[in-house]
Amino acid sequence: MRPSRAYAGRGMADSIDKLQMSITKRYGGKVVLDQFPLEIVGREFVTFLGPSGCGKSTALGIIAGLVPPSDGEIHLNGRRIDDVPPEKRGFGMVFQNYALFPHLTVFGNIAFGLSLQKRSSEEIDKRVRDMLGLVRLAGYEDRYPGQLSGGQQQRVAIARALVLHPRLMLFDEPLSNLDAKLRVEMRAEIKQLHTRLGLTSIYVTHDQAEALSLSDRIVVLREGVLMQVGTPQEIHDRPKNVFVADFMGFRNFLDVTLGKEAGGMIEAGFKGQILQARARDSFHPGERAVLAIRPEDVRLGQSGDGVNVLRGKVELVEYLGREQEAEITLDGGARLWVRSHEKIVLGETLDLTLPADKFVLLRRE
Amino acid sequence: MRGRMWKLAIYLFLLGFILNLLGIVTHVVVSSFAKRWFGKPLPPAFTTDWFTYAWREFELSHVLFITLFIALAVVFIALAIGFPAAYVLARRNFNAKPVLLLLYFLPLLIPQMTYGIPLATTLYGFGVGGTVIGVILAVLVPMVPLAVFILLPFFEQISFNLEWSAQMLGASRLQIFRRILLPLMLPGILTAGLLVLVNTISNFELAFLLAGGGSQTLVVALYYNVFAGGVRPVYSIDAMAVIYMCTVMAVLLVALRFVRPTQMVFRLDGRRN
Repeated sequence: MRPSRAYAGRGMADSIDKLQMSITKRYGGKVVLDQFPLEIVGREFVTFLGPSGCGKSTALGIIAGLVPPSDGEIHLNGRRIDDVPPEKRGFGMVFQNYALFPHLTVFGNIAFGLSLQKRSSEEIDKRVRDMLGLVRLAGYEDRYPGQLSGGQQQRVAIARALVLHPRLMLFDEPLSNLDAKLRVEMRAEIKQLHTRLGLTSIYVTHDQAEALSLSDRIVVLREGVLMQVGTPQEIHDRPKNVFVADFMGFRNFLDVTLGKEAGGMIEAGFKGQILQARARDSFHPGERAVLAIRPEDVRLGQSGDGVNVLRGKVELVEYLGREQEAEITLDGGARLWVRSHEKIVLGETLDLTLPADKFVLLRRE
Repeated sequence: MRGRMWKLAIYLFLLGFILNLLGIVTHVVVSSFAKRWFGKPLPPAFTTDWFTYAWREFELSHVLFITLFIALAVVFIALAIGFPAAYVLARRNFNAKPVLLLLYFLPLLIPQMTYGIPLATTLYGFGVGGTVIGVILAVLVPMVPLAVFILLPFFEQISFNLEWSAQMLGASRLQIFRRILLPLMLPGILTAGLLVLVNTISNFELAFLLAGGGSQTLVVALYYNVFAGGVRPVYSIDAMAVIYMCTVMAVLLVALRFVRPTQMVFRLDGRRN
């Protein structure tokens, strides 16, 4: 896609080719990031995903230069930058609480960085107005941040960073303060800007839907340790461990003992029953493991061949609009979550089929 | 019924208070304009001579100049020290912070006489006792903490993210100070400045302990002349008191023209995650 007019003067030379790092951060005795490795190439959209306190915002702060790392190095296009102060790195950053300057107008906020660069007033005027058009806020120049809605404030914050043509855009949970509807809209806008302007972006969020819809690559973090890096599809379909699976919406985890392997399938003993799952390297017969499956992948009723069928009683039904999700207590006492378009009646006894190809075989932790 | 009685009691108390105050003030004001005033409700004749007398005899032009000079110097120095101190106290958390805050608070809590006398002894020992510098140094002891405590909540209202975002936009520390902190702190600076100004002009104990012949502030001069009684006509002392009251009122009015305390607490983007 062609860069927009607002970016016409940009010259892609200042965009990054590659950002590499491996950093450790300790606060007191506590390790917040443990040799966090990352490599990002130009024009990529990378998301740091994880629950609060997992170190994702700290990692972003370190890349920005606002938080000093305890250990490790950051290299940009092959040059070490971790001793460069944040104001000299040429990165743009958008904060969760917008962080607009309350004493400046929308125009003043967006023009702030340009005026520090001592640009001519004609250039500032033109670039700010182009940027306002880009974030659909033309006509709002003279408003103060306090007079704008949350979504508008965040668009000003994005424009304020973009107007400086940052080599790297850093987003720190930018949509967390917005309501659900606006969040989905703004998500699309951010993605659009990223592609249209050819940006390189790092985005921090705890919202898996946001991560899946925006990213080229997702980095899942847990207590400062990297759990998995991959495309949204990889993370979504093939989580590497129970933590990532749980975070990506696998609600059912069956403790099993692996049996014999044949024809790409492996047997798994679950409470006296034998289940079939797709075999995976490095798992061996006799090993204890976890089979994960999403509620929406569990089917109601018996399958033709009678494989992987479990029986249980409906304990709880949650209405979700188009679907319902139910908690089933299996005959062996284990619980299973099921999601279905079909009507599920509280208290009834059901047969459930767990398709072998929907199981993800994981190591027990 | 009880509520009414209570209301009435409050009104009566307020009325008594105001009448009392008015009585004292009007007595002084009327007396300062009286030619002579004995045993009658009102003086038989009025004059403004006592003001010119007081101005000339008590060297009030000099005293006023010294008072304003000391007050402005204290405001400037208290803000210059208090601003960075309040910034650090608002932004940094460290183990000794509660202790340090308490230490800062002490000069405001303890009666000034208790530390005023040893302080004065020390300052005289350094040879600045009885000079304008001595008075300024002594008055700064309670005024710096006052400035810090007024500035502190104003700083706390300014989200740290504002500084970070300015930095990400290319601002150096100095530019953040000049373009973000200073304008956002202006209400706080004006409030602190105003309160330090008024407090310095009306400070008696420390100014009294440190003042020498040429470094008397208005209150101190007033005190000395009151107790040199018998030599000075009482009307001239009253004239001086009126001048003092008017000075403080004028400073307050001018300051309030620029600082409106009710509007000072405006909400900044202070939400922190």
